[in-house]
Amino acid sequence: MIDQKFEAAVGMSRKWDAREAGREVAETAIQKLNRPPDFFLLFSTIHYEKHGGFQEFLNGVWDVLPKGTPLVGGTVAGFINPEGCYTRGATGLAVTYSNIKVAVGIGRNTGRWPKLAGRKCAKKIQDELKKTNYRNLLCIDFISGVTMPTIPGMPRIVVLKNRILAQMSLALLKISTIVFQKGVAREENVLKELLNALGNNTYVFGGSTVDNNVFARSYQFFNDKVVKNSIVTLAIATDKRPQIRSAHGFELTDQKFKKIKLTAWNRMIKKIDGEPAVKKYLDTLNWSEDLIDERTFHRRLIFNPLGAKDEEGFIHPFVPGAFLGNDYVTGCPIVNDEVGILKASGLNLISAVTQVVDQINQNEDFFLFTSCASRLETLGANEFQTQKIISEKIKKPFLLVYTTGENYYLPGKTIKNLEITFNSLSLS
Amino acid sequence: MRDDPIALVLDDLLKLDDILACMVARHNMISVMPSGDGFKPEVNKIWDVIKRAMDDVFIVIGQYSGAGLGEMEFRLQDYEVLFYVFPDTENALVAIVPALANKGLLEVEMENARREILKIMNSSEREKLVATV
Repeated sequence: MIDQKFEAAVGMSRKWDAREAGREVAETAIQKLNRPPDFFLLFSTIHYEKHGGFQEFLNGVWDVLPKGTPLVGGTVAGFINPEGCYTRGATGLAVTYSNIKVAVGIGRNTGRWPKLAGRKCAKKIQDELKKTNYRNLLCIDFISGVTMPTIPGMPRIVVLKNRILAQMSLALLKISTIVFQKGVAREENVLKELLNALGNNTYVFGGSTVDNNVFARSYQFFNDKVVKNSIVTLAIATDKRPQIRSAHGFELTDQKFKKIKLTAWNRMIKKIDGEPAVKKYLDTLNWSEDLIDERTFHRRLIFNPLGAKDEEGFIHPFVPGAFLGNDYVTGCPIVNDEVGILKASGLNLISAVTQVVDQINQNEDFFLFTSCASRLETLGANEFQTQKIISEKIKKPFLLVYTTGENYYLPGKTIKNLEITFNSLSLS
Repeated sequence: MRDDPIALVLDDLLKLDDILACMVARHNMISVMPSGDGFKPEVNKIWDVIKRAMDDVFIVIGQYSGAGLGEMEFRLQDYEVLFYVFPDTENALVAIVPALANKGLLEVEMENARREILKIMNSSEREKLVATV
């Protein structure tokens, strides 16, 4: 039975001017509600950075949004909503519901001090939600995502074949992450502390902010502020039960390895079974090193990444984000020493959507999906199929955002920091 | 050109950093161009050879569009040319992008532009039909 008091609405803008787009995204969402929103999730592609700036974008939202509405969000590579699939523009999800209490939290410097950021974010939520009797607590988080070193004139570095430069970049990665907060995103450390503080009965669902897959910068939105290198969280205490589902479409092959040598917060594989990682990986696939360049990197490698099972038997794909010399760099932490080659096809990636969406019951509300920006990059216009699958199944407002890393936590399970997955959050 | 709704769709597309040029074209003919200052300057140095290659591709499009040919692309030097064919016609939305562009993300906006242009084409066809009746 659908609770009549629950209302959700999706807004969107394709305008170029930041302020106008901000106004339109808020306007088109809240005009569909019968009551003022209890919270607003706001997302935008990176384009407004050059068309007025994100502060103007947020100012536009607040020209329309009722004062004091809790708001979080950030920049994403693209989004899907009932109207279509887009890699330029802004979208938002507004919700109003009588049995809900909402708080927002923020923790800064996630690259430098991830644990402290997680704790600070939790503290603000704890302060605001301490007097609630609702049995379910859900945190929707957006964390500053991974950034890559860039060279002027080059879009991004994903393949660095020069071994000396690669060695230097390894040495610089940790310094860069900690000092300049450019590099690894360290989401798992942020989320662990958030959960430690809020309690392991909390549900968590979110992703990491990104630009247009250049991985140069990203922004987070927190009420009326635009921030960087932060976690922003919307905490919802409610009588409705969060439902989280996930799939990716990959399966393990027989090509398995016994031991890997890791560094850079478990995101860089230096050795596989004692051999240089990239060489061993490509040799196992029987691929020549020459086949891999900046242009073809993601589209060729995404279908055969390394992967490993976690303690719950869930397969984590570790899609290569870069080859720095012979080091295999991935976006999320590697959870197990025993990795193997995974396989999937474009069809499998799309079937992950069906797998998730088919589990959703019609009586559920509030549909937020996260998926990996690398899926979007690989599938391109085929992602319109994803829009079609969701639209045909869900006859209510929904929003999918493409992040550079997805995360979720279900009480009693382990935190999942993932990439190349498709995930859904709903309330029942 | 300024009031042409298709040109406005092309204007939007051209605002994306990695779209260096875009147009609605067919064999030996560019039907609609963006309404602003035209293409981005770096296309000029390679335009002649790209234009010749494009015309050859349009021969293929003309032959197979009716059979369901949807997209084509080719890479020439440091550029890629994307063709999004309008179904059952010899026309296509064409974009020139850098070879290292993030093509997956651009493809989504190319598809949105194709859909928008098709909508405009269909509605102007309907208007013509109404006027004739």
